[in-house]
Amino acid sequence: MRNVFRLADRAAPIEDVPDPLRVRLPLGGARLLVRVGDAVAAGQRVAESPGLRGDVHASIGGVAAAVDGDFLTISRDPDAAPAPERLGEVAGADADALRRGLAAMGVPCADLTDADLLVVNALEPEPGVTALGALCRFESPAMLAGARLAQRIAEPSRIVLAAPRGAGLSLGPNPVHELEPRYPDGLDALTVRAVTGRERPGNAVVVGADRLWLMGRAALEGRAATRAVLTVRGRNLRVAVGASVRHVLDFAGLAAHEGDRVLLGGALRGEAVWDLDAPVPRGAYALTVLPRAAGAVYTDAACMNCGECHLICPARILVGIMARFAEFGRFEGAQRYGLDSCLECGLCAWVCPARRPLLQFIRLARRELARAAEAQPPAASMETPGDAPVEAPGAAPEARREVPA
Amino acid sequence: MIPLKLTASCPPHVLSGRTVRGLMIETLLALCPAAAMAVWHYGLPALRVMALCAGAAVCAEWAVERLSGRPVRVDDGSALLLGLLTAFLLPATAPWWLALAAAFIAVLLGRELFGGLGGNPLCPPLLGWAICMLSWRGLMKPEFAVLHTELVSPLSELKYQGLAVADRFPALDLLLGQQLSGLGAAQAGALLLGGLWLVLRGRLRPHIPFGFLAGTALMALVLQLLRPGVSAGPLFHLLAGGTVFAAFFLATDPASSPVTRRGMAAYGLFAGAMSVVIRTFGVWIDGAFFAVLLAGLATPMFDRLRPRVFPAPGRG
Repeated sequence: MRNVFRLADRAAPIEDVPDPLRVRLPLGGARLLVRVGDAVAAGQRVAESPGLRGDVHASIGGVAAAVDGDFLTISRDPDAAPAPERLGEVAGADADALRRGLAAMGVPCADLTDADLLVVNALEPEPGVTALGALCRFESPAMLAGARLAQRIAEPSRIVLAAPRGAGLSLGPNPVHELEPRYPDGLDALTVRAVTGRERPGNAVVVGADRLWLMGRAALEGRAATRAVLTVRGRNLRVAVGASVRHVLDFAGLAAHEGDRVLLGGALRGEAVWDLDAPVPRGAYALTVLPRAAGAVYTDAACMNCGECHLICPARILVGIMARFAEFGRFEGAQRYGLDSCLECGLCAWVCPARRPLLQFIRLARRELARAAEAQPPAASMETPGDAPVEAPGAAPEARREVPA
Repeated sequence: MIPLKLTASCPPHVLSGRTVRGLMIETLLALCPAAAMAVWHYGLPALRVMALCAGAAVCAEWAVERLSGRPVRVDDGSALLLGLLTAFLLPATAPWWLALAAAFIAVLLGRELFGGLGGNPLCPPLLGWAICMLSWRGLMKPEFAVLHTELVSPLSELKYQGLAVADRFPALDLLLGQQLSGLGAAQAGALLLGGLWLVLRGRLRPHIPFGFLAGTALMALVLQLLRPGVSAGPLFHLLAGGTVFAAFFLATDPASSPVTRRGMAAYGLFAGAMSVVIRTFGVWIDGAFFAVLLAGLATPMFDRLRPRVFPAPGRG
C-alpha cells in the first residue's frame, strides 16, 4: 500500500533541452547589475544577492529585454550577445573567500559552515524524481569536483554519500551510507539523522546532490549556476534556468489541460504554477503535470481528531492541534506545538481523512509569524510568553478558502 | 487566446484517498457480523432497535446541521455509525421510545452540542447509554429481559451468584454471543472478527484495542491472584459482557481518545483495567462501558504523553 512512497534508485540519462529564445530569471531580491537594453553574455553575472544566497547569471546570451517585478527577462540575440563568459576558477585562500566565490557563481552556500561531517544527499526528494541519481551516475567528474570544493569550504573530517540502497552510487573514495529509499527519508534533516543517528547534530552539514553538482560545475568548468536538471515524466532534462515551464513541457511532449496542476517538483512537495510562462527556478528538480482528476481536493471540514497526521509525521508534531491553532490565527500557539520543527513533507495533509489543507495552515502560520517578526524590532519579536494570539484579521478566512477542484 | 486555467494549491497535490466516509463505511462493515449475530439471537426485535437508533441518529444529525447552518455532511455515515453503536448497547427488548431517546441523546448531547464530528469529549453512544441507564435502569438492563430469552448475563451471574456459577460459561458460548448484554455488545466473537479486520486494514490503530484487552486481562489476573476463588479469570473478563465491543469500537472513538502512540496505549490499558475494577467492586454490572467514559475524561492527560518534536533548525 505504501509503495507510493518508494523513491527511485535508478535514473534515466540526462538530456539537454535546447535553450529557449527568452529566459525570465527570478532575482529573489538580488540587486541588478545590468540595465534594460544591455547586451548580456551567456553566463554573465546580472544580479548580486546579499548574503551568500547566490548571485544571478544569464543562462543564455542576448539582450536584457525587460525587468518586471522580481524578474529579469533576457531575449536571445546572437548578433548583440558577447561570447559566452566563463568566470574562471572558484579560488580563495580560506573558506570565507571560497564561499564568497561560490556565491558569486550562483550557488547558495550560507549554510556551508565548518563541520565534522558533510553529508551529500543523493536520495531523491520525492517519489517519481530521478534527477539526483542521474547527476550522481552520469556527472561524476563534476560531483567529485564539488566534493573537493566542499571539503575545502567546510573542512569536514569525512564526507559521506547518502544513497538509495542498491543503487550502486559512489562519490570517489568517500564512504557511502545506503538507505531504504522511502519518502520522506530523503529530506535533508531525516537523511542526516539516518547517517549520524542524531537529530539535527550541530556538527554536520548536508548538501543535496544537485547543489554539489552546481558546485562541481563551478569549480571544474568555471560555469555559473545557470542550469537545472529536472525529472519530467521519467526523463531527466537539463534546462536553462529561467526557461518557461511551457518550453520544457513542449520539449518533453507533455501538455497541460484546463484544471490540471503543473508542479515545479513532484506531487507531494511541488509548487503549483498558475501560468505556463512561469520560469524554471534555480534549484528545481522536477516538473510534473498532474491531471485534474488525480489532484487533491481539500475541504473546509473540521478536524475529527483521528490523529493520523501525528502518527505519520516524521517530526512527531501533533499536527491536528497545531494546524487548528494556525487555522484560527493563534500562530504562537502553533509554534508551541512544534511549528518550527515541521519539515513540510506534506504527509499530514496526504493522510487526513477529513481532507483538511494542513500544510497550508502550517505555511500560513509561518508566513504570518515571519511578517510579524519583520514588523517588530528583532529583540522584542520572539518569545512572547503564553500563546497570546497574534491577531491577523482575515488570515483565517484566507486559509479556510476552499481549493478549487 | 484564452489563457489556460491551471489549478494552483498548496502541496501535497495528491491525497491518500482516505475519507471520513470511507472510514465510517468500513467500520459499519466491521459491525455487520455482530449485527447479524444479534438478529440470529434475538430475532426481529434486535433489528427493530438497530433501525430505530440508526434512523433517529441520522435524522437528528441532519436536523442539527440544517438548523445550525453548518454544511450538511450527514452523508458521511458517521451518524449512521453512531446510531448503530448506540443500538448495540441497548437490550433487544428496549421500547421504541427508549431506543429513540438513547440515539437522540447520543447525537445531540454526546456530539452536536460540542460542534459535531470530532468535537465530542466523550464517546457519544456511551453517553446516550449512560444517561438512559441512569434514567430508566429497569428497561435498560439486559438482565430484566430474561423473560424473553433463556440467555443469561455472565457478569450478573458472577456478581450475584459467585464464581462457581460464572465459571460454567464456556468460552466458545461467550464468543458466539450466548450471553445477555447489549444486543450487539454481547456478540464478542463477531465483534472480534470485525475489529481485527479493521486493524489489519490499517483503519484502526492497534494500540487502543489491544491495550484495552491487555489491561482487562492483566487486571483480571491480578485480582484472581489476590482473591482466588472469588474473582473470575482473564478469559472470562475478556469475553463476557461488552469488553470486546468497548475495546474495538467504543474506546477507539477518534475524538475522545488520545492520538499519540504512548497515549493510546496508556489509555487502552487504563480503560481495560478499570473495566475489571468497576465490574469487581462497583455497583454496575458491566464496567467496561463506564471505564471507557472514565478514560475519555482522562484523554487530555494521556495526550500529554507525546514524543518530543524533531528539533527545529538552528537550535541544536
